[in-house]
Amino acid sequence: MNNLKNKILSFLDNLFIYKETNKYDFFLPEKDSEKESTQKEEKAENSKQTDYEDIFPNININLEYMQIKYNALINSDVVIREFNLIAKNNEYKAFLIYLDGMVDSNMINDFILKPLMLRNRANTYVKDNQNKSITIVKNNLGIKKVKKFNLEEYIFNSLVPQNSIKKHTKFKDAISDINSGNCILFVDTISTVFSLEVKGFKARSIGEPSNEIIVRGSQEAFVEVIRTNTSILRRLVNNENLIIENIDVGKISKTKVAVCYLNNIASEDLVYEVKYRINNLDIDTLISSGQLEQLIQDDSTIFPQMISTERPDKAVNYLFEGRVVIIVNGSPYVLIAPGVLVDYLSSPEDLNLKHQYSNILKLIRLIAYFFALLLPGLYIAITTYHQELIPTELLLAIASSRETVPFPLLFEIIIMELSFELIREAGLRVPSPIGPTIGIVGALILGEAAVSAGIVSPILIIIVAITGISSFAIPDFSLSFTLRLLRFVFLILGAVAGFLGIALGIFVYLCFISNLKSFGVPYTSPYIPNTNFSNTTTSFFTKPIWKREKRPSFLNPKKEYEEGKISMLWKKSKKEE
Amino acid sequence: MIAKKICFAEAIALIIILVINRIILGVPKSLLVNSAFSATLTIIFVSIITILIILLINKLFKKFIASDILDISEFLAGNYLKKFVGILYIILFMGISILCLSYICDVLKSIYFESNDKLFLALFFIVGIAIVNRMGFNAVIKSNLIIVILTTIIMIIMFILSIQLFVPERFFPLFGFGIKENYFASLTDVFAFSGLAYIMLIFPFFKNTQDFYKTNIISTIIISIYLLISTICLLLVFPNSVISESIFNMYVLARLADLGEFLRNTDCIYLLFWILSIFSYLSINMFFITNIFKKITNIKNSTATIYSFSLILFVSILLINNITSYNFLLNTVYKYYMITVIVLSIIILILANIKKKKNLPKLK
Amino acid sequence: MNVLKKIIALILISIFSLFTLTGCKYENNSIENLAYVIALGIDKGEDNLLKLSFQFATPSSDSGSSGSSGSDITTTTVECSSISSGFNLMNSYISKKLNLSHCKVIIFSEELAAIGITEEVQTLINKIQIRPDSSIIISKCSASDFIENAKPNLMTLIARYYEIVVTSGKYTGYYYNSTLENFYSSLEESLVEATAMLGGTNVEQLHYIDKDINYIDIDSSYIAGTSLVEDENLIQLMGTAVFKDGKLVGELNGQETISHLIVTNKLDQCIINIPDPFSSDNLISVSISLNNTNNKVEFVNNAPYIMVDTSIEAYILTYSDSSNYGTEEALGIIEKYINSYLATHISSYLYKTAKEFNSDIAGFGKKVISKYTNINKWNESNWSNNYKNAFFHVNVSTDLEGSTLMINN
Repeated sequence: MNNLKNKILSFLDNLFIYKETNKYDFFLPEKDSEKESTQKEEKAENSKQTDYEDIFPNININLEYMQIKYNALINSDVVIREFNLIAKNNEYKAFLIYLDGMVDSNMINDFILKPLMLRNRANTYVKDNQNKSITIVKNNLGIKKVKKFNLEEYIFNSLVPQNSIKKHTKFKDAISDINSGNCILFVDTISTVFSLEVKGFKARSIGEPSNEIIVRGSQEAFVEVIRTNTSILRRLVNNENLIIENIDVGKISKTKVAVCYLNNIASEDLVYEVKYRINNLDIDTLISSGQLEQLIQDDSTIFPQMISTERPDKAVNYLFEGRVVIIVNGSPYVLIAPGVLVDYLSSPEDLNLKHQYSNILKLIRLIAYFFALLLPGLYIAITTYHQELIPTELLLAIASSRETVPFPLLFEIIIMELSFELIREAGLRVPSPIGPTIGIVGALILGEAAVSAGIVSPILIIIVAITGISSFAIPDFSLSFTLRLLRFVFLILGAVAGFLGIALGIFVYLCFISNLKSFGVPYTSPYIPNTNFSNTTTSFFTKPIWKREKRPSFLNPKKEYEEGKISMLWKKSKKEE
Repeated sequence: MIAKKICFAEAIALIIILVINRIILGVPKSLLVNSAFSATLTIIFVSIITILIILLINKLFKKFIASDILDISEFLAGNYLKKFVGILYIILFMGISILCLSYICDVLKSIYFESNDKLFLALFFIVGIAIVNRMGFNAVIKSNLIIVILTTIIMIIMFILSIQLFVPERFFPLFGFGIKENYFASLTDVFAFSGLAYIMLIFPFFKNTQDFYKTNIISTIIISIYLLISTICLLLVFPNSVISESIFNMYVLARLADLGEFLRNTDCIYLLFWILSIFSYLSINMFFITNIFKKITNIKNSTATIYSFSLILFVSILLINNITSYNFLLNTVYKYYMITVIVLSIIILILANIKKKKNLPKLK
Repeated sequence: MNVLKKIIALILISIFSLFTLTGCKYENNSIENLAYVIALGIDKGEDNLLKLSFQFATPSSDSGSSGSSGSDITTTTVECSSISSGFNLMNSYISKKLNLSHCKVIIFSEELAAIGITEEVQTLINKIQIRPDSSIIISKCSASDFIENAKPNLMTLIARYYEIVVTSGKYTGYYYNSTLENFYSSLEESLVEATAMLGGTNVEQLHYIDKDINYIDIDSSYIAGTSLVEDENLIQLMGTAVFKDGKLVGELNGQETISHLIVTNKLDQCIINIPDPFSSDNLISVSISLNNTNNKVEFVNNAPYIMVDTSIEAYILTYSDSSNYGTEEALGIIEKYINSYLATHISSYLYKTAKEFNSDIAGFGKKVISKYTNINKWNESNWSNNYKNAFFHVNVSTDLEGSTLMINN
C-alpha cells in the first residue's frame, strides 16, 4: 500500500516538479559597428608586419614564413618536406612545399627527391678547379675571368630533371604556384625558389553532378575521396587562406572529416563551434555527411539546418561568404554551415544568370514553396468552408465532378497524395531504364483510370499534380521533404477548421522557423532579425553582381566587403578620360 | 543574455500588432458616429495627446534605464507594490485577451462555422498560443514581425481597393455633432492606443536602450496613421449609421473591397491574415502575462504558467455570452480599468522619479 | 528534442480530439452537398406572407471523363412569413443545404416594392452568406415569373448570364446595375434616394405605347416588359425603379434613365435619336458619352434651385446620301439640336422626380450637405421633403466629333 502510494507520489512529482532543462544555446554574436573599425585597423597592421615580398636567402625564415602563411600545423593537406640537398658533394638545407591531392607524388619521389637527395654522379661530381676560369679572347688579348660556382644555376641546369620549371624570387609568385598545384623547392643560401610542375590527380575522374543539374555553370561534382574533394576546393579557391582541417570522427571507423574555411573571412566563433561539435561526438562509426548533419545540427526539427551539395562551385561560393564547408570521407555530398531559409530556395545557377532572370526564377520557386506546402490544405479549406471565394462556374464544375465520388473530400485527397508519394518512391527504386516509364504509367494511367472509375474527381488530380510538381521545383532536397511532410498537417488542419486551421498552421510554422537557429544564426536571417541586408550576397532576391558588395553580417565575417564600391572600374575610367 | 533582446523593428511591430487587432475587431465606435472629416480631426487630436503622454513617459523612464514598471514600483515602495501592479497588469492583459478571443470566436462562428461550437474554435487559438509560448521569446517576437508586415500589406491592399467605393461627400458635415461633443467625448479614446500598456513593460528587452524612446514615438505615429486611414475608409464607404451599427465593421468593408471581376469575394483571404494577427496578438499577451507572473513570484518553470493561463483563458471565454455583454465589458469596464492602470503607472513613475532625485544628493 | 515530441503529441492529441469532439461535422458543408442559389425572388404572397422563389444551379451529373461544367436550372417557390423562415422551409424541402454565397441577383416584385422593402433588404444585408454586391432587380411581373423565364441566351451558364446581363446597361444607358449594398446605403442615409433596375418578361407581350410620345423617342421610351423584341420567354432589363423611404414610387423609362445617368455622372455611352434639322422626316442617330456633369444647389426662398451643367461628347452615326453633316455650320446646328433635346429631356426627368416622385434619386443631397457643419442641423433641414419644391436649370454643351467612315461633302 505504502509502496503504491509512494509510486503514485513519485509519479506525480515527476509529472509536476520542474526539472531544469539543460538547453544548449549558441548564438553567433553580431559585430558591433564601433569595435569593427578598430579591429580592422589592427588586422591591417598585423598583416603588414607579416607580409614579405622577396624571398630570403635564409631558409629558416622562409620555412617559418611559409608555415605561417599556410597554417601548416592545422592545414591537413599542406605538405612541407624538409631534406638535405646535395650539390657538388655539399649538403644544403632545403624543403619542398606542395598541396596534397593536387600533385603527383610519384613524380615528386622520382624526379625531384631522388636526384636531389641521393648521391649520384650529377650531384657528387666535383671538378678539380672549382673556380673554373674562362678565357675570353677580347681585342686579341686573353682575359681570364673566374666564374664562381652558382648553386642556383647548377640546380636549375643539372639537378632537376623536369621539363617545366620556373624560378621565382617573390613569395607572391611562389604561393600562387603552390595554389595551382605546383611544388616549390626552397634551398638554403639562395633567394630564388624553383617551381616544379608536378600536377596530377590519382583519384578517379570527377563526374558530373547527378542530382543538382543546372544549365549554366560548372559541370563537375564532388567525389567520394576526401583528398580529391579538398583538391577541387583548393583549385577553385586558389588562395593560401583556405584552411582544410582534418578531424577523425568515430571510434572504430575514424572517418576523416575535413573542415574547410577561409582563414581571413570566416568568423572564428563559427569555426570553433563547428570544430567543437564535430570533436565532441561519441559515436563508433560515421559513414556519410547525412549522418554528420543530423549529429551536429542545432535542434532536431524537420527543417534542414545545413546546406548539402554535390557541387563544388556552390560550396566555394559559400566559402567566400565566410561559411564553413564540412567534407566527410566517402560521401560526395558536402555540408555547408550555417544555412538559412533563403539559401534553400536558391540554386547555384542564380549567380551565373543575369539577376533579372534569376529573380523571376526565385519568384516561381517561392510560389512553388507555397503550393507545395499549402495547396491541398487550401483546396479542402476553400471547398468545405469558403465556397464564396471560388468563381461560380468553377464551383459548379468542382461540385459536378465531386457528385459521383463516394468518399469524403479529405479521404479523397489523402488517397491521391499517398498514391502520388508511392509513385515517387517507386520511381526511385526501379532500375533506371524503366524508372521514367513507371512515373508515366503511374501518373497518367492510374490518374486517368481513377477518374473514370469515379474514385477521385478530375480537379483533384490537377491539385495533386501541381503540388507534386511544385515540390520538385524546390532546389533543396531536404526542404522539399519538409514541405511534403507538412503538407499533410495543413491538409488535416484545413479539413477540420478551414482558414482558421490553416492560420493556426501558418502561425505555428512561422514561429518554428523564427525560433530555429543554424549554428547560432537565426533561420530567418537576413530579414528577421533585420540586419542590414542591403547590397549583401545573401538575400532572397539576387542582387546584380556589381551590387553584391558585402558579406552577410549575420555570419559575422572578418572581411565585410567583397568587392569595391564600384566594381566595374573600366566604366569609371572611361568617363574620366 | 543576448537571446532575450529585441531590435528596433521588432519592438515597433510589438506595439503595432495591438492596434491592428483593435482595428480588425472593430474601430472604436465613438470615432465612427461623426462624419469623416470630424473623425479625422478627432484622431489627430487624440494622437497629439497620446504623443504628449508618450513624451512624458519617455522622460520619466530616462532615469530608469532597462527597467519596467514592476522594477520601478519595487524601487518606490517595495515588494508589495510590485506585486499589486503586476496583478493589475495581468488582469489587464488577461481581460483584453478574453474579450478578443471571445469576440473573434463569435464572429467566426457567425461567418463560417455555424454548426461548430464556440469552444471548438477557441481551442485552436489556445493550442496555437500554448505551443508558441512554449517555444519561447524568440518565436513570439520574430513571428510577430513577419505577421505584422503581412497584415499591413493586406490592410493596405484593402484600403487601396476600397478607394473605388468612396463617396467624398461623406466628409460632410464638417464638424459632425459639433466641436465640443467631438473632442471631449473622444478623450477617453486615447486608450484606443492601448500600446501604452506595453510601453511600460518592454524596456528591459531592448538591445539598445536608446531605441526605446524612438520606438515609442514612431510606433505611436504609425498607430495613428493606421487608425486614421481605417476610419476614413470606413466612413467614406458607408453611411455612418450603418458602420457604427455593424458589429464587425472592418469585415463589412472587407466584403466590398475586392478586385472587381478579377478576384471576387476576397473577404476570407483578409480574414485568414486577420486570424494570424490575432494569434500573434494573443500570444504576445500571453507572453507578457507569464513574464509578469514570473517576475512577481520568482517562479522558475514558466511552462506550467503558460499552460495554466491558457486554460484560464480558454475557460473564461464562456463568461461572455453575447455581443451586448462584450460591448459593455469593452467599452465601459475595460476602458476605464485601462485608464486607471495607466494613470496609476504614470503616478508611480513620477513618484519614483522624485524619490530618485531625493536619493541622489545623499549618495554624493 | 523532447520539446518537439511533446509539441507533436500535443498537436496529434488536439487534432484527434477535434475530430472526435466535432463528430466530423464538416462533412455537411462539403462542396457537393450544398445547393447554390443563383437568383432569389421575393413576391408578395397572400395575406402578410412572402413568396420566395429560388433558382438553383444544379451541377450536371455527366461529370466523369469529360469534366464538363454545364449546369441545369431548377426553380422552386415557397410561401413563408419571413425571409429567414423561408430559407428554413426550403432547406427542409430540398435534399441539399441551401447556400446563398453565390446569389447573383435578388428580385423583388413591383407589388411588394410598392408596399415597402426596407425590412427585407435589411434582413438580406444582415445575412452573411449573401454578398453585398449582388444586384437588385424590381420586376414588373411577379418575381417567380421573372426567375422562371430567366434562361440564358447565347450562353450556357445561368450564373454568368446574370453577371453579364446586369452590367450590359453600361453601353446602352437604359439601366444601371444597382447592388444590394448601394440600395441599403441609400435607404440608410438621406443623401440620395434608392433606385434599382427594372426588369420584366415579354411573356405577356404588353404592347402598350403612349400615344403622346413622339415617334422619335420610341426606341428609348420602353420600360421593361413592353419592348418589341420578338423572342419567346426572355427577361428584359430596362428602366429604373424609383424609391422613396424604401417604397416604390415610380418608374423611369429608358430615356429617363439616360437622363438620370447623365445627371449622376454615371453614363458611359449610349445612343439617342434626334430629329434631323434639315429634313423633318429623318432621324439622326447620335452616340453620346459623358464628359462631366456639375451640379450646383442654391436656396431661393428656402426652395432649392438646382443647376445642372453637363458637357457631352457625341458623334453622328447616321449616314445617308440625302443629308450633309460634314460642314461646320451643319455640325453647329446639330450640336444645338442635341443640346436642346437633351436639356428638355433632362429637365422633364428632373421635374418628374421632384414633383411626381418627390425622391432625390440624383443625389443633390450630397451637394446640400456640404453647406452644413453640424449633423443635427442637417437632419433638421429635412432635405428629402424639401426636394419637391425644387426648380431646375439645365445646361447641356455638346462637342460633336465626326468620326464616321464616310462623310459627304
